Amino acid sequence: MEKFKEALDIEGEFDLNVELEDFKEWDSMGYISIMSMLDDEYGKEVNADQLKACKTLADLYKLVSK
Amino acid sequence: MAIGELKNVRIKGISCCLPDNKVLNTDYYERFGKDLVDKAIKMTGINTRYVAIKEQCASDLAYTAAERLIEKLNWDKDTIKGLIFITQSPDYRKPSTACILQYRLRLSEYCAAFDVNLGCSAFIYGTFFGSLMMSNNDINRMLVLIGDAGSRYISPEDHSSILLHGSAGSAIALEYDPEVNNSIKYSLKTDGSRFKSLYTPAGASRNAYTAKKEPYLHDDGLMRSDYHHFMNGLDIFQFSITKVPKTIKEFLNHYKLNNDMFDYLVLHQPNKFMVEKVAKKIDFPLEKTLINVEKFGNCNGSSIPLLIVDKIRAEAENGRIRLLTSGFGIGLSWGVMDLTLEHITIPDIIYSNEYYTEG
Repeated sequence: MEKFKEALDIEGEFDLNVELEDFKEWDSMGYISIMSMLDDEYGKEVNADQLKACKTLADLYKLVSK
Repeated sequence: MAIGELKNVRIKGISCCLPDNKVLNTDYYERFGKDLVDKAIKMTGINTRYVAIKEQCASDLAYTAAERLIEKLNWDKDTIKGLIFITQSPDYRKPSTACILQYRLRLSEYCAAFDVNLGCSAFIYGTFFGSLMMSNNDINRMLVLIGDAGSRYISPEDHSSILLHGSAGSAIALEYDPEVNNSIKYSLKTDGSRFKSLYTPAGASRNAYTAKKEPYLHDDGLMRSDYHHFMNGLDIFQFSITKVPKTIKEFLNHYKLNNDMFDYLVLHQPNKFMVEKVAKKIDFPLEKTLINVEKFGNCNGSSIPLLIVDKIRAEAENGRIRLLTSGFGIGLSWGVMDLTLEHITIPDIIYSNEYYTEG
């Protein structure tokens, strides 16, 4: 969660069901930050389509733990 | 595997020419809004770029770079038997711009000249082609020219691309030399399955009868015509941070090389973030990784020559340096090279708005 916030440079409290589209930072540059963070922190190489398919933060977690 | 060694070839000189037209990315506040522009600057690290003026083609920049280099090398033009021009912004649909450059440079008729359509991998491929062309011992001197002035093909509303691109031309002089000790090692790769990640749908044969001239709204929210450049930034980013480091590592393993053997890592400069990312993934020290994208933007195939000329000129002119270089992008096409530069000739970077008036 903290890493997610840091990557998107956002603050505030929210849970896993938060809609990613609610963040104005969830744009192409946001994708790049997340893609890069997942690669650095988790060694996960995700592609653009996988990332775009994520609707909520929980989806993103699922992607990482696959 | 397209992995091999090129022997008996020496890079004698490198020069670069930029348009005398500096553009600040902050000039785009009005068009795209301060937030978006600041965010793009932060992400890409690109502050300024040099953009070709309307009348100026990529070949004009390459021509000026070549003239200055030939002059500084003091080469007799009749001894140059080969010219390759690598560009994605040619003068015409046909003929090869290289033929026009052969004439403009007043090279001899005994000169093989042709264009190659590649972008960010141009320096690696150009050095490869140029070296191969001298392997028969009939061509002893070659010019590899690289140029792009592609901003005119970008939709003025496409902030994802327009804030990145700079125009540049460069010239690389190659000479046959049986005394050279260091071979040039290379690895070349292609993944055409992703050609649509970076492309221009119309302007050539495909889609000629259906292409839309007027800009229209695309899925990514940007207005473009079919004649405009398109980039799927995310795809390209993913490609660059996975395939490129993988290929570099594979190359180093193949030749039993390691990072310590190289003085510098010289990567194509799409943006600062990506360059640092690739360096980090191959564990190359950042202080030996050259970066100048903040000043010039993404200059396609000229990025690597521009780094050498801008950042390590004195060392390349006065001594011997070994470079690990990689160019990657449109195609998708990419390559890695182990290249030693020794006492090469490098003129000052030229800033010029000159263009050919007989075209």
